[in-house]
Amino acid sequence: MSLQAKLDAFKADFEAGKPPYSVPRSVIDVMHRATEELVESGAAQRSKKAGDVAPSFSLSDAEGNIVNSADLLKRGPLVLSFYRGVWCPYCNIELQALEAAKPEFDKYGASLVAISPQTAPNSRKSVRQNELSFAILSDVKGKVGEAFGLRFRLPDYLIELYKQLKNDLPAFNDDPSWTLPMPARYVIGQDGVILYSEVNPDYTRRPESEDMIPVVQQAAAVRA
Amino acid sequence: MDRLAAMETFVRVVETGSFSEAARQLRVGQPAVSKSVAQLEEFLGVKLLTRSTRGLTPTEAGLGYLERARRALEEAAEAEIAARGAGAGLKGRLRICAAVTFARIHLIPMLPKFLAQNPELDLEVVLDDRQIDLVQEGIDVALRMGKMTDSMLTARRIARCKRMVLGTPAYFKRAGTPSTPSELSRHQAVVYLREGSVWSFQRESTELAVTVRSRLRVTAAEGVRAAVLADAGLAIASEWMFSPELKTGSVRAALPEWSLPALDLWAVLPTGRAATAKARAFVNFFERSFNG
Repeated sequence: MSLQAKLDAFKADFEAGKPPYSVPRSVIDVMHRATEELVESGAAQRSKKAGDVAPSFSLSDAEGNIVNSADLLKRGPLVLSFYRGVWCPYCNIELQALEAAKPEFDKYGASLVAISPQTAPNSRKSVRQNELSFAILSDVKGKVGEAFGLRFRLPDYLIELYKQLKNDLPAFNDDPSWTLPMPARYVIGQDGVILYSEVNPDYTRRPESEDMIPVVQQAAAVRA
Repeated sequence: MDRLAAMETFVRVVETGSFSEAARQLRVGQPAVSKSVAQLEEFLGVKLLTRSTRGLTPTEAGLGYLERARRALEEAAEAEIAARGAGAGLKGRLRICAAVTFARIHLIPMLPKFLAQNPELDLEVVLDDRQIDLVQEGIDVALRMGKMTDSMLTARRIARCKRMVLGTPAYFKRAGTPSTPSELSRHQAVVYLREGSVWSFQRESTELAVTVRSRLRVTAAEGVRAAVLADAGLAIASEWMFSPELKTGSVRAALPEWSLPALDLWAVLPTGRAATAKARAFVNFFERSFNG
């Protein structure tokens, strides 16, 4: 089953109000409105894309080790995934799909890291819950997401909804700004230039992890 | 003093930058030109031209007057055409500018009909893939593709065209058909240097971009077309660029579920002068024929 098929199946149950979430229709409508407005804003078109130089970063993983993009690029191409947090079921499903594709990335000497604005304890929860073997980095105050042009502030009506749902982003992210990154995938070549970019302002849409393999393979061939 | 004739003399002097050249174009003697400009300056009570060792340059008042004089002359010409009635037709020369490949496939084949409809009109077609300076090149109307960024131009959108990833059946047979944009990195691309090697796609709300691999990069659309037709690889192109081949199937589109930013076709007129009746007639003819 493809990743998108899994996400679609989850979304169908979620939006039908099935347990364990059992959300009412009014909540779904608010979420749809926020997604539509984010798409309409054109923010995804202004984010970093193939051909741009990737902003460099130095962030802590779930165990507190510093991970540096320049060090990763010395070893090979870099696959980078921006996700929202362990509270987002779509993100968890995607992280599991990335884990499944990791042996293929390894084959071409590519590093895989995922970045979210959540704190280290929440990153540890992501690792544990999804049985991940790759680095999960904490983007404190969303600065790297900002540098990639992915960070946006939630509209006030969505903040109200998240508060009601006890989706406490200021606590999860140790950041009062109520901002998130749009989910995105990048493949970065060893020269630091982005070779592939995919940005999903609609967080229920994610690319198949295997889609990035031809790009990683080509990036590795350039190095060889 | 004939004010309209004086205006025309002044405009010619500024455009040519010399009294003698203006005199030659107007088929009068140089003293007549000098006298006419002097009379005009006396009548207006301001200096219109500064005469220096570097030649003639309009003063600030001269520049303002130039602009309005040009419009007045064009209005007068239009009034004459209108007064003679529609049957009198269009006269003289119309300079049209367009991109080479687009003109070869779409524009030039239409022109005999336009010439037949306007027996007293001559056409000059300037073909150039680059965006040339319309005022400097004396272009009356240009057909341009892409985004309009120059605020000095008046543009009217004629049509919008899909862009797609295209290749020949022979190329697809040899290299396979990509099923995702990321697979393009396993393919050979023919890159049009004006557009570069990053190809951007959309599917629903998703924005995707990928750097393509290309060993063949070309500066003119005509060359991109020839390379694709020689099975050299895949290219991004508008439907317009390959309309004959898409009809016959000798070129096919890939990645149908992904869309590329569309391409707009504009009719562009240099501003600062009213669109001439000739330019307007051409735009109307072209729009009807192209979309018809």
